[in-house]
Amino acid sequence: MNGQLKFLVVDDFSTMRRIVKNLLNDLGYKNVEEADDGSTALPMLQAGDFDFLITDWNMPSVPGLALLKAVRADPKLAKLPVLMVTAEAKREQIVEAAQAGVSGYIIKPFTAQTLSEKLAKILQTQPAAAKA
Amino acid sequence: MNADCDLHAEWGELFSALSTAFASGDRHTFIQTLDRLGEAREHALYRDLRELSGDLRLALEQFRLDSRLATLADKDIPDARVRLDHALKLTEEGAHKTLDLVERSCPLADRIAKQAAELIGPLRSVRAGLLDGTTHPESVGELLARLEDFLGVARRESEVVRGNLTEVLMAQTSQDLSGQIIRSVKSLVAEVARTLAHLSALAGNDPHEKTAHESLVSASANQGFGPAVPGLTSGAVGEQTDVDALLADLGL
Repeated sequence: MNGQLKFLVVDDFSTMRRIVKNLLNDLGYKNVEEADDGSTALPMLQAGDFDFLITDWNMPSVPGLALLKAVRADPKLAKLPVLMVTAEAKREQIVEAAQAGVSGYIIKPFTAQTLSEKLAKILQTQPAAAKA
Repeated sequence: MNADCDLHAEWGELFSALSTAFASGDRHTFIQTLDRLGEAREHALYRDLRELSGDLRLALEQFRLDSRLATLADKDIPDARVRLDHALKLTEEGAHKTLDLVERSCPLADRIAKQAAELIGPLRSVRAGLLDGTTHPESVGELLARLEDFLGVARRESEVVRGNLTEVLMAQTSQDLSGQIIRSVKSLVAEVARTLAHLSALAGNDPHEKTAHESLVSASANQGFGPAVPGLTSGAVGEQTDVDALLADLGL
């Protein structure tokens, strides 16, 4: 585990952002920033040296799937690990997210253990996330 | 032209019978036919009246529905939006309160655990020293003092954590309040649906006919559907294990 990793947590509900942030802190990741929509998240990602993106799907302006596609389309961000944490649970959506290049998919409500497992799995299989 | 046809169809037979009786001077038939004409006229009048009262009833019904709809649109639905906003605020406040308390409690529990862990080593070495006679009485005193300090801290901070847990419990009451609000809005939505269905039936629509707008009201996959609702959302996976299995099938 690399405690230096910088996370961006995107969700339109501030309580959910706090929950994810607290869980990340418990896992030893102290460097966590927040955004409330895909539209505010993308400029932050482009400007900051984030190592990991955790995003909701259903957001008012730019939803998570559009953010994921924008990230994958940006050469600088294309390899960024993206974990979707969302209440969207339709099979077609999960398939769509996978096709758009999502690194992991968690459905709400979720447990601390699920988040920990998915993070570990993504960080293991996507060494690009490890800081140089 | 049409009115002429109607006139002939309606009165022609009786009228020609009447004029035939008149021309031939058949008084009995003439009076009988005149009575039948009177009855028919009365009958037609009643029929018109019935139609008129039916129209009036429909108009009143329509008016009642229209005025109920107006109240729904002008007052009840805006009210419901305010109520839902309040429910949203209540649940948000409850969640933040809980998070505040958890954030305050975690460091306390961490500190107790850390201090307890720090005492285990000295405790073991003093006990071993007591067994082989190498422990100085001063170090026993020092350990006991540290233990007493720790127990004091542990008791105090456990009480704070315990109090925080009670407050976490109380913060869940927002669910009850927001639940009541959501339930009242739910019955309003049911009433709107009923009123619209009545109105639609008055307009002569078949309630079972599928309409084109159904596809318009469904959310797009790109924007998201919101949480899956049992019995309403189709094609949703049940649990995280199902998601994992699906993603594994896709090679993720």
